[in-house]
Amino acid sequence: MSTQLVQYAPAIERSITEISRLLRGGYPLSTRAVALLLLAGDDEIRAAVEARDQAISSRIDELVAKVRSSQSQPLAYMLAAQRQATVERLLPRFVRIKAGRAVGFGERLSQAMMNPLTGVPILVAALAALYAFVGVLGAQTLVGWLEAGVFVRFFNPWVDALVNRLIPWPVIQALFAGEYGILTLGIRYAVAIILPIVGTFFFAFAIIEDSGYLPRLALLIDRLFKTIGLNGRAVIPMVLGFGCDTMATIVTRTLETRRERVIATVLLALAVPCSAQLGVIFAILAGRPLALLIWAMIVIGIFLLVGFLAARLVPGERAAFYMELPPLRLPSLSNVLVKTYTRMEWYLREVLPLFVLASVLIWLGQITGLFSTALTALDPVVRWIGLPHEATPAILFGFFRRDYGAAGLYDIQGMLNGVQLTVAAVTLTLFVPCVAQAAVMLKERGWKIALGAIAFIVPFAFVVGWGLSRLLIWLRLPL
Amino acid sequence: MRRLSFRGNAHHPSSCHTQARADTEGLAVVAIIGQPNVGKSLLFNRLTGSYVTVSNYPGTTVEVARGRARLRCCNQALRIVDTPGLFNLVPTTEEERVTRRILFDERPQLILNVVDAKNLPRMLPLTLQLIEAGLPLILDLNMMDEAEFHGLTIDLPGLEYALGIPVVGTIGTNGSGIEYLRERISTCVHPACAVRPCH
Amino acid sequence: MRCSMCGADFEVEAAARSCNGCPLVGNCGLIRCPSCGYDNVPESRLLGWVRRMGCRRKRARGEQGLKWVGPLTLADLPPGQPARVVGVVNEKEGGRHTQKLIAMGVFPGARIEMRRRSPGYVFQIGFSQFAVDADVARAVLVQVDEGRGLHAKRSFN
Repeated sequence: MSTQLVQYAPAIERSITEISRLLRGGYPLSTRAVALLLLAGDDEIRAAVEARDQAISSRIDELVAKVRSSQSQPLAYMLAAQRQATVERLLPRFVRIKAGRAVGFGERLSQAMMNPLTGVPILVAALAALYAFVGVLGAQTLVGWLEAGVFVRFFNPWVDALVNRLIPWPVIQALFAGEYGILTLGIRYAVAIILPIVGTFFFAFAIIEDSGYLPRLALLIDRLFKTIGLNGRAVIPMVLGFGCDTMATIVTRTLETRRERVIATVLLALAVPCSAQLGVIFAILAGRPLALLIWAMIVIGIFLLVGFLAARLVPGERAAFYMELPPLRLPSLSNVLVKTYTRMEWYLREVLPLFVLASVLIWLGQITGLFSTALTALDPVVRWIGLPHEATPAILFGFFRRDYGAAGLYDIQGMLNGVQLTVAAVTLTLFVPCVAQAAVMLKERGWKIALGAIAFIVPFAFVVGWGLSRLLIWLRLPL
Repeated sequence: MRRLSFRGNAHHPSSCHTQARADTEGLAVVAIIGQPNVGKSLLFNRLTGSYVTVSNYPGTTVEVARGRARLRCCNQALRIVDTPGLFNLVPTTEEERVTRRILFDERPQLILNVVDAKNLPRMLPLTLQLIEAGLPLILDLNMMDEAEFHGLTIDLPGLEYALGIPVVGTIGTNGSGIEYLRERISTCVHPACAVRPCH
Repeated sequence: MRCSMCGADFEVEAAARSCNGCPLVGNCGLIRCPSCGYDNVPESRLLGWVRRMGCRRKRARGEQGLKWVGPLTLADLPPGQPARVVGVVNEKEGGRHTQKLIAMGVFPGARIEMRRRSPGYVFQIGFSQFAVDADVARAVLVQVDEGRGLHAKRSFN
């Protein structure tokens, strides 16, 4: 290669030549590129060169150190700046710019989203719209129609009758139908309660996401997130967590430092309720605005408190915030629909087997007596936080999936009073991540952190539940 | 830190022709590389007909998506790899490391460098680095519609001549230019049935 | 601080030394002037905070910007002020952000325009906007682009 597109400063070019001469060949990229990466201080490449020839590597280290000391700016920055200069020299020949564009509505809206004075009301409005769509339309109208209209009235009696006719043994009957059957409980929870809620959430999230609002929200919330050891960037996994915490835990990978990833994982597992859970909780607490307010305040308070403490306890470097603000775009309906569909398909593929598995486990537990043993064992804890023993199965289901537990709560809501509903909602929000989330935590963060987080979260959730029930009874609020 | 393996010892010339290298299924690998939020995933969907999540914010692709596409000329299958965004050949985050490992270890037969057409000054440094590295390359200027909206006219043949690599313009959201891009990919991956020569 | 009795300027740390031997050392909430011995009432932390906020606002409006002797950084630019990048802060602290700045295309000679300063910094380079925090903004050295003000009223001086 005789002529190079990018010519670096003479001192740098000289050292590139010297280093390339030492390197010989055999790299998947040109020796010039390897030399440039070495000058930029690339550890991975350095290690690879060292592995091949230690003597050459130390000779190269000297060369790099010599150039570095002769320059006023960091070498990586200088190299990048010179490439940039080449681009700037090259481009005017091929790119023509007509008159610039006036400041449009999009730009003004973008500014309004980031200004705290207008941005916070916009955020509140967005959350209210989200609640109206997911909490009211999804969790109340659609769930009510599917659950009472379709399943309880038609599907379940039909399945019960069919199973009773086809299968003579009561034990096997109980596997498919009846109170905890695969078809009558597993499928009903998944299709009638979870599906409409998750579907409406993913639809709303796809719109928010495609509009380009999230990066602006990230800037708005950066300061607050710094106090809990994260930065604005973490807003994306956190908001996604309101859809599905398992998905969100995977997305924490985009955070820069290990410390941030750990804090985000713990907070997602503890204090970010997923959409299925949120929908059911909204539905249960819908007629009780005060209870909903208390639930929200407790969960937000714990999110901030635990984050604040974690920021002080988890060692590691603070990551600075930077993010591109893409232009605001009007989401295209087809992309939103396709995205909603893809996420729902992923979700159902992940959820449905677990719902069926949970039904089978409960069935196994029932015929072996393990289920009732577990219920008896859990009963004192449930009573300790002030709930009747009818709530025990919901808490036990919660160990399988958090939404499953919430859905179980939905079933028995008539038996609980306001205080008990609030306490149950808070406890179920806080405690255990679902099986899938625990698995992802284990995979992404390693067993030490995953188990540590769970060992902290489960007792903590019950202690908060206990404290809250004492407090609410003492306060005698009209919930 | 995992060590880069640097398998093999072929050194590529600067054009897009290379000796065929294949993945485990015997398919030629084409890697989509580019900065975050330039429309890599949408382009992947367009090329393979499958679906990976696309969003209007950077950093959505955390997993490496792999799909199949067919060459135009002889209907031969190709492996297309979608990678997380990369700003610079020197990686800072875990995803950038993943992308670089694909570049160096899997040694794709062709790299499709996707850039945002309205932000060329910020995009081309990575392209220059890829050219410097002597990797087989096609440059795809995506979001040509937005560039036009901002009043930019770009001389693609001129840029192709100056950089010495094939340059293509596309609009991922409505699919314009994708057919031509396929054609250029075919030419590079399978020069035997070349419709038009590549450098 | 300045003693309200004799007007001498002194460091608060120096004042602590003049308290030697006092049984209340460090806990009386007063600051003794080392030159005249007068026990000054320290400024309320709340008031101090309010005042600092006020100064920041003023600086944001560009009224004090150029009186600074130190090098100008991105964090000092008022909104709407075009500038050119000069370089990056080459210390251990600022050097940490080098890769991020490269990623955003913040290079010497690049035209940059501050868009907003709160709750974080938003600036424009080319057709792209970026949001950064104060740490990153302070690592970029800039030079004001004279005569290129988009909003003439707001330009410096």
